[in-house]
Order: sequence, then structure tokens, then C-alpha cells
Amino acid sequence: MAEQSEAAGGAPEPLPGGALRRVCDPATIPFETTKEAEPLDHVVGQDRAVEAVEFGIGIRREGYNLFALGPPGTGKHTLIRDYLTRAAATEAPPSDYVYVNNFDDPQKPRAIELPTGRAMPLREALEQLVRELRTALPAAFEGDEYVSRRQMLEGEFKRRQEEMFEAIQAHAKEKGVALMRTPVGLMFAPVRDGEVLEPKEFDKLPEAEQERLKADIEELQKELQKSMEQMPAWGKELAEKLRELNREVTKFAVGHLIQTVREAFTDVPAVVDYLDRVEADIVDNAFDFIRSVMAQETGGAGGAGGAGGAMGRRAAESPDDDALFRRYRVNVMVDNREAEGAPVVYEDHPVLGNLIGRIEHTAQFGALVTDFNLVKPGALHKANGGYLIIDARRLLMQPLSWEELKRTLRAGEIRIESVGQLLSVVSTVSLDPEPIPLDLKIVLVGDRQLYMLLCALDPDFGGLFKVQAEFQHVMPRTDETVGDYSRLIATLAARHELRAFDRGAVARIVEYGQRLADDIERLSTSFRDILDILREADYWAGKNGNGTATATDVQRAIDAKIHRADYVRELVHEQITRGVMLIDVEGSEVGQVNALSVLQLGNFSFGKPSRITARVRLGKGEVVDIERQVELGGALHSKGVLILSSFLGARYCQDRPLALSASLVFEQSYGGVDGDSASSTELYALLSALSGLPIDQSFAVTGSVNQLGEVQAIGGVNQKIEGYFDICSAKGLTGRQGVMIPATNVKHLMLRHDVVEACEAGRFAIYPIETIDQGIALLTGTPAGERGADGAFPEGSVNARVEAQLVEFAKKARAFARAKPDGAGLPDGGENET
Amino acid sequence: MSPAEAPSNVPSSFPSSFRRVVLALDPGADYRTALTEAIHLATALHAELNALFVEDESLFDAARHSFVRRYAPMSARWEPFGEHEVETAFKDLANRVRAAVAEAATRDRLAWSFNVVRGEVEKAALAAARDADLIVLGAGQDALLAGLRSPSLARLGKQARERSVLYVRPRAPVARLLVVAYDGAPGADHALAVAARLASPSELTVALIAPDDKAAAKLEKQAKAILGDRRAGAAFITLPKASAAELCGLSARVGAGALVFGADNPLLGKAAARKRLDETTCRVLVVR
Repeated sequence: MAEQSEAAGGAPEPLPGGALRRVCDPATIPFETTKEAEPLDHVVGQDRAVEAVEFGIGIRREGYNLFALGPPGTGKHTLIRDYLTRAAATEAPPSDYVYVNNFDDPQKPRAIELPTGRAMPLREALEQLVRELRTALPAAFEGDEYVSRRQMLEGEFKRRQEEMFEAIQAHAKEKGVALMRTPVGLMFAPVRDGEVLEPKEFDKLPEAEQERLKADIEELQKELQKSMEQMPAWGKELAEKLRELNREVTKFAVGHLIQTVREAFTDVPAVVDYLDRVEADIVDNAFDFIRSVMAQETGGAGGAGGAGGAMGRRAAESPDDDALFRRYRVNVMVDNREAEGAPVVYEDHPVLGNLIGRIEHTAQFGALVTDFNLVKPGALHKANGGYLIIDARRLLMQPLSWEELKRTLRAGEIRIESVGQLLSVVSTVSLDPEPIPLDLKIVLVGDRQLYMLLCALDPDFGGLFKVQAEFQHVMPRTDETVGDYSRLIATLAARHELRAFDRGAVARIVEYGQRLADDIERLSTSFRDILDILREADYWAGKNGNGTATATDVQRAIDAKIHRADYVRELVHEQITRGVMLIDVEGSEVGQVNALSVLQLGNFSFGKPSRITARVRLGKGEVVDIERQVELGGALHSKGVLILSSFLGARYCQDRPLALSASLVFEQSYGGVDGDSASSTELYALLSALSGLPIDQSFAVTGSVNQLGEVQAIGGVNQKIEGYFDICSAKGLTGRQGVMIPATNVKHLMLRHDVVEACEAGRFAIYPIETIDQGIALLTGTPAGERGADGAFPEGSVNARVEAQLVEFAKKARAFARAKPDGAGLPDGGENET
Repeated sequence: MSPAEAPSNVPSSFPSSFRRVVLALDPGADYRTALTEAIHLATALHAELNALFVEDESLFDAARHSFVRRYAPMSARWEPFGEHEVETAFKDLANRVRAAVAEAATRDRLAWSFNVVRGEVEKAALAAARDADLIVLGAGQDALLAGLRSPSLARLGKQARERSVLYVRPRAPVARLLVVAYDGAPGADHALAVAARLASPSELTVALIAPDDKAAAKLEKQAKAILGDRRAGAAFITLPKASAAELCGLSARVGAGALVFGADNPLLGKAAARKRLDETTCRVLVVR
């Protein structure tokens, strides 16, 4: 290279076969087959991310949540989960949490924290209590003692009533009057011999007698009214006494049942307090429960007129169907009974309800109703005290989830609200469960773009996710890392229960990793792609009856994978080989160069040759990018084209105007073009057009160029070379054909075996180009030429021809300007020579 | 007890005596309780049900007096009251009773009828139910006034004993358990046979009215013979003194829903005993 450079425009030599592909020697693989390999006990190629994750897990400060960013398939999830699981195993399981009824305000369920593993026993204890209540309560109220005490109270009430009525009856009877009952009330009527006196009989009585009876009846009415006015007070007194009796009996019946539960939870004051409330509520509502049990016994008939044994013993029913008993149930939100460490939860579907929890409803008679039993936990509850992993993109795509997560982290507590409440669009009464304290670490997993956008656009983000764990898409390729890489391959094969891979297969996969990295000094960390190839090689090995997968199986997997995806490539290449798309691979043309581009189709990309042509004429000193003019060219492409003007002006027209108008076009390109990887190609086309020297069409060219004429690295070099090689192969390799690539891209070469073989056999060639002068010399077969001490390029050189043409343009431009009667220059202010 | 559960081995001496059950209700009766009882009896005895609503004519007599007022419990005031109000109230009540009878009888697939008569309640009921095999007399629904016009053994006296009568008490216990006063008389045999038809053996307590153990054993043997296969499960309790108070006490102790007598039981001839029986909370069935 150095020699070529010194030759000032001399053509470089093609690259040797060894520079076109870095072969992984199977002998460097540290095991015979993957079965013998030691499992990998550390993460490969992600030192920076590992360090960040360890820091993020270790630091227990507010806001030190993690954001793991990196390309897909680099093992972010696996690494994060493995690390978190390992860390969580050393930590104590967190507390359990339950929601119970709030007897003071049922709309605000009460949260109770319990020692680890105690939530379910509490729930079972309360369910057992309810089962026992269903028998104990009716039994208590059927007992002889209760019945007799109740009868005593009611008898007393009845006796007072009877005495009152008897007194009035007796008083009335003395006066010849009877107290009678009618469908619409009581009345007094005059009687004789026990029969009501008819009006005509009454009229026959002496007037004084009639008046007396009327007066007596009026007096009796007052007496009855006065007596009746005492009735409500008596009734109230009876009701109060009965209520007190009921409370006493209930307390006696359930007190010892609740005490049993209480003794099991004396170490949890909140539970003891709750049980006190339960007991008080049962005592207050005992008769409601009994009625409910009776209703179930009699199928809802309430027991009236039913068969005997109304307080029967069919009590061991599930409490679920009994709304009254639901209030004593325990809704377990977090159960860590079987946890062996802190929880590690991955929330795959972070909609609001799955994240924060939700309040469900049931339909009853057309209305939606809810209670504390229908409060459901979210991922935050399950991960509380541990770690929660969420895919950042999925999280951000769910309405409200991101905002609620941030709010929850800021508040340090989980408050469950329905979407309707959050948006203030529903004003119906719902639940407002008591918030549960939050203590966990969140790991968001996403890509770099998302991370940058959140940093830029969300002011809360930086404060809540302070730890950035960046995953690399490649890792250095050294002997040591190849060893690790091999063990990683073995670990993946074992973990996914694939057959063993021999060292040749592993070596081939290492090469595949290099190719994925597009760099012989790097290995891809896209372990998802590696795993895919492992699985597919395993499939082909099975298909071929191989107990151990070999390099052939791996190659088959790679080829098959490409074949499944390369239909469009075939179509494109077919268009070229059939002459529909005009690409010459031999001969010479002025102002025409084969460029190379890469088409990306899903996960598959391939190289495609394109023809670039240039035309020049007298003009105002501009290079017209036709792609740009029709809005098919991107900004980077335009930048590359503008650099060409600068290069031409600086090299050839430092003391005269660039009186050139040139147009550049990607022939038969109907889609967009972007990137500057064709800028050197365009410059070659221009130089050819200006110098009139034809360009050898056997070559295809790629590389960007700067203002100094240096050729710079581009992407997709392997695909580009292979794309042109395929076309040449199809049209027939002549031995002259080859690809000019930037010299700085040599380290990225990881070409297909067939390309390497063709190069080694002299049927194809790859040329590393450092400068435009090298490239134009190779393309035209004419030295580029350097300025001599006199400032002139050597006669006949490319540069001399170009400069002469531009001088000629400048002269013509000046002549053209002078010929104008008004002295005007070229259109758009073309320069006048001075 | 549904008809299907009715014992099949009921003594042949009581094959089909009850073909017609009359339910007599006055305006103040707790007609739902009485109706439930009547439906149960008619079903168990495979009888038809004739409901009779008696408009108490004494109320019309009373309402015709211009100075008579009614005490309205809802407003706790004395309000004007006339014949028209009584007429309307009877009509409304009769309609409600009829609807309830129709619903219950249809549900239990009973043959039924409904009639309205006017007169003095018990007498009109007994007169209208001349052909009935069993009369069910409903009691006032209002506990406050339960004692005012309840069906009364004391009041009906001998007249009632000419046919079988069930006296339904206000708010009587719902239990089905029956206590049969059994003294070995033909009427008691009959009563026991009817009771065996109305209740399962486990719901049957036979009160043996016997002065000593020997007499009690004899009565028990006689009772078991009547019960036949249904004797197993029935309880036998000896009462040396055949007083109404003892029978009422026994029924309270065992939680009986009804006391059953033969129509020839000597107790029913004693005014004091009838008065005591009027005071018991459980139903009283007199079987002729």
C-alpha cells in the first residue's frame, strides 16, 4: 500500500486471499465437542454492562433504577435476569400483603403487611372462621337458653300489651262498649249481650243513655290512644333488649373462634386490630348472617313456612356465594410463602392493570359492583422487595403505564386506581385501596434510541433511572475471547438441549460471529442470531443423521437461512444478468462506473451493483445530483456530492472559476439513495468525463471521499463485494474483474468462501484504495499524476487532462461572458475570468 | 311434607275421611300462615281446599254508627269510619286472599275454591263449612290484637267438636313436630292416625295420658298398633295428669308446632282447659 501511495497515483495490488477472510482454526477451539466444554460461568463480551448492572443492583438509593440498552439479541434479558436472580437469591423474601375490609369505610380497603408466608394462613384462618360462623351462629340462636330468654323478653312485651288491652276491654265492657278490630284499624262500638248494637237499636235507647255511650266511647278512644302511644316505646325497649341479647349470645358464640385466630397472629398487631373489628362487626350483624344462612337453607324463601329445622345444619358451604360473609375474607395480594429469596418478576405485558394492579367488577342486576376482594395485584406488588424487569418499548406503548410507573416510583407506594379514575372520566363510587409501600428496583430493557429519546424528552427519566447499562453489539476477537465464545456456544447448545457441536462446527460459528460483526477483529454479541444458527444446524445435523453437528451442518444452516431470505436478491441479480438493468462487467466507458449499494430486506441484506454516470459541460460551477433534484437522494448522499465540487475546485481551479456544470445519476434507480459510500464512485465518473479517459467496466467501486481526495470506510463491504462477485460469476469471470474498496475497510472483510477462492485463483480481485488518485489510475489504466515543481500535472496524466478541460471551460465561460452585449456572465452569476 | 312423602302405610281405619279442607279466614286473620297450614293439610290428606273469607257483619253494624271512629295505626289518630270503608276494605282483603290461595293451590296442584260469606265469624264459618271434614281457622295477624278475635276453643265450645278443626295461632312456630294427646279413646286413635299422616315418625311425639306405667305401656302398645310401620322413630312420653297445662308444657319443651286431640278428649269439655289451650302459642288440631 505504502508503495502504491508513494507511486502517486499508481494502481494498488489486489489483496491476497488471506486478507479476505479470517478463518477460525478449529485447533484453537478448546474442546473436541461442545459436550466436553465447561459451562460458561461469566458473561462474555459485556464487561461494561456487567459492571453497570452490578453497580445498579448493589446501590440501594432512590432513583438508582437501571436502563439496560443495546441492540436486540445481545442477551440483555438473559444477563439481567441471571444477575438479578443470583442477587435476589441472597436476599430475604419480602413481606406478604393482604387487603381486608375496612369496616369504617368499605370504599377504602385496608392493607396489612404480614411477615413472609403468613398471608395465606391468615386467609385460611378467616375462611375457617366463616365456615364455623355459619354453624355456630344459628346454633347459638337455637339454643334453649337463647330461646327461653328471648321468649321471656317477648312474653313480657306481650303481657304488657295484653294487660293494656285487657284493661281497656274490661273498662269498655263495664260501659257496654266493645273494642273491635277491622281491616283498617281498631274501633269501639256499643254492644248488648256481646253483640254490636245496630243503629236502629241504638236509636231506641234513651237519649241520655245514647249520650253516655257516645261520651264513654270518646273517653275510651282517648284512653286507647294514650295507651297506644306507649307502644313504640315498649317496642323500642324490646328491640333494644333483644339486640343486647343477640350481641351477648353472638359474642359468646364467636368470641372463642376469633380468639383462636387472634392467638395465631399475636405478633402482628395490625391483624389483631383487624380481628377486633371483625368480632365487633359480627356481633353487630349476627342476625343478618343468620337470615342469610336460612335463606340458603331454604333456597331463598327466607324460611317462613318452610319445613321444620329452619336453623338446620347444612352449614359447611363455601362462603364465596354469600355476600355477607365476603366482608371477612382476606384478599392476598402478595404471597411469598414459597419464595426462597427476593422476587424477580418480568412483566411481559405492562398494561396499566398488569403493572399497578386493578380493581375488577362483577355484574349484578345490570350494575357493576366491586369490593376489596376484587382488588388484583400487579407486577409491582409481586416484585415488591425485589426486582422488576420491563421491556421499555412495550411499557411506553401502553397508555398511562409509563406515567403511573413514574408516579409510583416517586411516591414510593403502590396506589391502585382504575383508568376511569386516572382520567377523571368516571365519577361513580369505586374503591380507593390503601396504598402499599414500595421498595423495589426496576430494570427497563430497551435500545439506545429509546434511551436517548427518554433522556431528551422526559425530565423525570434521568432522576428515576440513574444507571445506564449499555450492551455492546460486538466484542473484541482475541484468542482468549474465541475460547470464551466457544464455551458460550457450548453453553447455549446445552441449555437449549441441542446435540453436540464438534470443534469444526464451533469454529464455523465463530466465523459467522465475525461476519455478523462485519469485522475480522470483532465478534458479534447478537447471541440470538448465534442461537438461531445453532438450532438450525442442529436441525440439519438431525436431518443428515449426524449425532454431532459439524461445520457442514453449520454451513448448511447459514446457506439455508440466506436462501430462505434471498428471493429479492435473485430477482435483482436476474434483472442484471438478463440485461434489463444495465451493468457492464467488461469493456470501457467514459463517465460511467459500477457502484455498489446494499439493500436491506428485513434481517437480510445483499449487495447490488448500480451504474453511475456523469456528464459535464460548461456551467456555473456546480455538480447536479439528479437523485437529490427528484427527491430520491438523502441528505448524506447530497453531502457526498457537494464534497465533489469542493474537491474539484480545490484541486484544479484554485486560481480560476470552476466553470463546470456536471450531472450525476444512479441509472435505473427508482428508489431512494442515501449514504455517501458512492461519493468516490461519482468522483471517478466525473474525472473520467472531464478527462475523457474511459473507465474499465470490470471494476465496481465503493467508498466515500473527503475534500482531500482520501477514500474513507463504508458499511456493508462484504455484501457489496459478494453482490458484484455474484453478477460477474453469472456473466462470466474474466480474471480482470474486481472491486475497489477503501483500504480502511480491509479489516472488515469476511467474505464467502467462493469469493475468497476466486480471488486466490486470480479470477477476481479486491483492491484496497487509499486515495482517489489510486482509484482513478486503476480504473483508467492511466497514472493520476502529481503536480510537479512547476505546479503542473505530468502531461497525459488523468489530473492533467482534467485540469486542461476545466481550464478550457473557464476560458469558454469568459468568452461567453464577453460576447454578451450587456456584459452579463453565465446564467446564475457565472464567474468572469479576471 | 309433600304428597309424595306421605306415608303409604297409614292405618286403614283412616283411609279417606278428609276429602274437603275448609280454610276459614276473617278480616284480621294471618291468612298467609293459615293458608300455608291448610295447603299442607290438604296436600298430605289428598283433599280439596275450600277457602272461605268471612266478612264480619258486626263490623258493618258498628260502622253504621255516626260517632264510631277507627284508630288508624299508621297515623296513630282516630278517623271517621263508615260502612263504605268497611266494604272497600273487605273487598280489597278478599281479593288479596283469593290471589294468595290461587297461587298456593296452583303451585301444589290442589283442587280449590274461594268463597266470601258475611256473618258472625266463627258461626258463619262453621255454617258454611257444614260439609267440611276439617276446618282451618286463621288467627289475627297483629300480635297486638291477637287476643281480640282469635279462633277460640273456649268460644266455640261444643259446636267446634262436631267437626275437625285446626286452630292456627298468630305467629305459631313453624316446626312440624306434632304432639298427640293419646288416651286410648276412639277419638284419640283417630287423631293419632291423622297425625301419622301429617308428620314423619321422627316428627311425632305421642303423649300417653296414663296414671301409671302399666297403663302407659298398654296405651303405647295400642298406639304403636295404630301407627304400624311408622312407629319406629316416634317418641312416647307418659303424662300421668291429663291437664292442658301439662300438654302445653310438653309441646313447648319438645318444640312442637301443633297439639293434636281427639274430639272426644275430656279436656275439651272443660272450660278452663279450653282457655288454657287458647293461650298456647302452638296450633291446636281437634280431630273428629
